Amino acid sequence: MIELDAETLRRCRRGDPAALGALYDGYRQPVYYLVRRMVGEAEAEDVCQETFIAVFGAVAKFEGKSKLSTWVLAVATRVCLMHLRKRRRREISAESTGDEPLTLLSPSDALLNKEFFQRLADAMDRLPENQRMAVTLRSFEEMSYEEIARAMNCRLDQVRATLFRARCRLLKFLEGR
Amino acid sequence: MSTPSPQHYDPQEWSAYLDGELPAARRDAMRDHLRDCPPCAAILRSFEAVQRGAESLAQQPAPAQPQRRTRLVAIGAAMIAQGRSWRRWLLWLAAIVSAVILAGLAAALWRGATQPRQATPAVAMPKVQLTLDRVLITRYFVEPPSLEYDVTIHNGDARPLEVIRVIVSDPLGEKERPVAAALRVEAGQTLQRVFSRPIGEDARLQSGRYRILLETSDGRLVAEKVVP
Repeated sequence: MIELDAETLRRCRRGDPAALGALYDGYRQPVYYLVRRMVGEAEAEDVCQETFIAVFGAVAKFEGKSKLSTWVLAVATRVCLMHLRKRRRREISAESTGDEPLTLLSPSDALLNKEFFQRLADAMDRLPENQRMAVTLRSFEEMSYEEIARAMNCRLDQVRATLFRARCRLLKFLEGR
Repeated sequence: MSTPSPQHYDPQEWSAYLDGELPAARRDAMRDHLRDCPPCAAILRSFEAVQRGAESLAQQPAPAQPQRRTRLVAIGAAMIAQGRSWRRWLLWLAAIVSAVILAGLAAALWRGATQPRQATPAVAMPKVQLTLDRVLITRYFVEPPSLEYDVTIHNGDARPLEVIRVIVSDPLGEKERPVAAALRVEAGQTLQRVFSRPIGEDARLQSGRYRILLETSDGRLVAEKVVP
């Protein structure tokens, strides 16, 4: 993910359309991916748009305490969670809080080919909301546990446990194709 | 494949290891362990495959939406411009309000400086009299010496009088003295009272104007005495 330079960010705060365009171009792809994973393809564009409106509305208040990419993804996370809450999806309640039995991939499964990606994408869509969110945020390489915790408004140890459970569950889904 | 036996590292730790979220010493020990432990290496490989797969998925390009982009940027620019305009107005408003308050304060201070309290006129209460009988310094054995104002209040009115505030003013300066909650002069009553202010051990009665102001429920009463 790119990080906007200080000058572009300053122009964003002043509402310069060219700078806002650069912000949009820089983060459209990760935001879209996160949103697409969280709310599904049908509503992804609308929620993505909602996210950027929220980002543009708040960029003047961005204090630079975190990286801009982390902040944008945190905004996207909140918009997704609000959207999901509105939809009253209750996947979290269906989530097991206990440890998942660990299934491992066979060496041939571990090949990152097109079929594997498709199966993984399907498996991710079946994860409970918070696990999907954690795995998706983690898939942006810059996001540390601390940044994920901040975006998801939870503790560090919860991020660690959620990611672990998500991975176990993904392996189980992949195994039971 | 099977789950590793308990003497191996906890699979959750391998998940954190993969994310680089372990202390360096722990990470090094686990890396060493990997060399001789195929089951742990298999766990890590599986987690790694899932993680790398997720990262690759995240790289997939989002569908281009040029029209939506143009509209969003325009909305964003308008929102920020509006926000800036509001902020500018709010700043102006805050500045004007601050200026008015400061001007008011300055005027009050100026009035306070140019119109000393001694000039506070007594309200005409023809039937009420305040007399400052004497001013003296009293020294007690235990308490510090005090400058005392002996006064007489005569309430010739048909209704009782409440004393709310007492301010004494003398060469030592102006000072408000506490008033007992029950300082009430009934209709037709004459009351003698002492109001005092503590002074230094070596203080002497200085020449000058000694003045006492009583703020009552009906108005102000002033009495004064000049000590030569």
